Amino acid sequence: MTFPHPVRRALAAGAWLLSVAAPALAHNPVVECRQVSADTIQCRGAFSDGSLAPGVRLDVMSYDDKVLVSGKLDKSSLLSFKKPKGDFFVLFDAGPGHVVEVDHAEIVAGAAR
Amino acid sequence: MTLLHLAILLISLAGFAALALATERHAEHLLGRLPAPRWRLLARLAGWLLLAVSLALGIAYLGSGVGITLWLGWLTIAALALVFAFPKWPLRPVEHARPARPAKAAKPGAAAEMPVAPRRTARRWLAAALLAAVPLVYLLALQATPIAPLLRADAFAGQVGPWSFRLAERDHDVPKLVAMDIPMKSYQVRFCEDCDAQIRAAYLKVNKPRSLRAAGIVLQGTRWDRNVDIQLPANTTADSSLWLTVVGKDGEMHQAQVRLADVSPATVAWFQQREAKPEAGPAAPQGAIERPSQ
Repeated sequence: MTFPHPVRRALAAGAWLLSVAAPALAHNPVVECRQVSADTIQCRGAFSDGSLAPGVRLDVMSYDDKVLVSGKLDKSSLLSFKKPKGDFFVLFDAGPGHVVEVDHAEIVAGAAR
Repeated sequence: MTLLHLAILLISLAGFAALALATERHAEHLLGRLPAPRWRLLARLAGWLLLAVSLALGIAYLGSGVGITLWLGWLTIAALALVFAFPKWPLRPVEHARPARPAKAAKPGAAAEMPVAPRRTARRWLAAALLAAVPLVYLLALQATPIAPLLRADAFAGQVGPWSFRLAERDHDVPKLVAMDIPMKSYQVRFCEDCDAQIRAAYLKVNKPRSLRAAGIVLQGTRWDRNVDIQLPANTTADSSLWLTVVGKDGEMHQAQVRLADVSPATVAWFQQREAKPEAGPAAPQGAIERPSQ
């Protein structure tokens, strides 16, 4: 089926506009930590849409708000650190107002996903 | 945005022009000759397709509500533009010798119209049925529309520092599992009308924030619909609480606690069920580490 020229052009323009009209998906920071060995914790930070967050900051804090470990997620969005003595929590800091916390009580054994 | 409006207008204008070319009367007027039926069919298809494309554009960019309304607005303007443009068209409309309309009184029996009549009656009934269906469908749609979360009876009303607020989960569903099977929930918060101007930012998280830096996720959106998606901790229980941290424009920080069981009973039940049989949920077997009660 061949369309007259202007119609074809309008259709092409419409198709193009539709293709760039992808709605913006909310992506919230999410983080999960697992105890991978007796003294190692591994955390993976990501965004809720499944995209990884390499280079994003991850801090391990003591309950009295001291920074115990401060690191950045590697290429596969992971960060491993030695399990601190005492109570601690992990802050996945994807920017002001986009900070997710994992308490040590939440951390279970197993490999990080 | 201007480009979008222009695109909707131009595409619907092209659509109407194509539909005009599909009719005998306008095609003959616009082109000076009557195109072949095949071309007119093509023009009709293209016309409807273009109208559909402009509608799709509006919905894709602005959502179904605003998109459809805006599309209807631009359709009106496009149609009116054509109505006023056609008389200015350089070619003269083709005058057909019209057969004189027979006077109605001349055929009291109306025997000649009999074959047409049943079809016309059916069409009329169909139109009447469609018309009657409009309020019915409207009422059903109204019935099916969920009440806005903050207007529901289960919305939590509380006070944070000098400000009153309402908080509700967006839906009653169990948490949505996102990346890494992490449970997420959406909440909606509204502060009292006068409070809003005094608030710089508000944050929400499960469990008490240990510092302002860890206050949670910042609430976004317009003031009457501040919303936030938060990750729920793996060890959420019936005793877990949502903590709302609000920072005023004067720099003062205020916090309020809302029991999760009060605003998200289905979510608490989901966590309890997952705790009861960990292999069913995404959580790994627990027991390697002690889980102090929170």
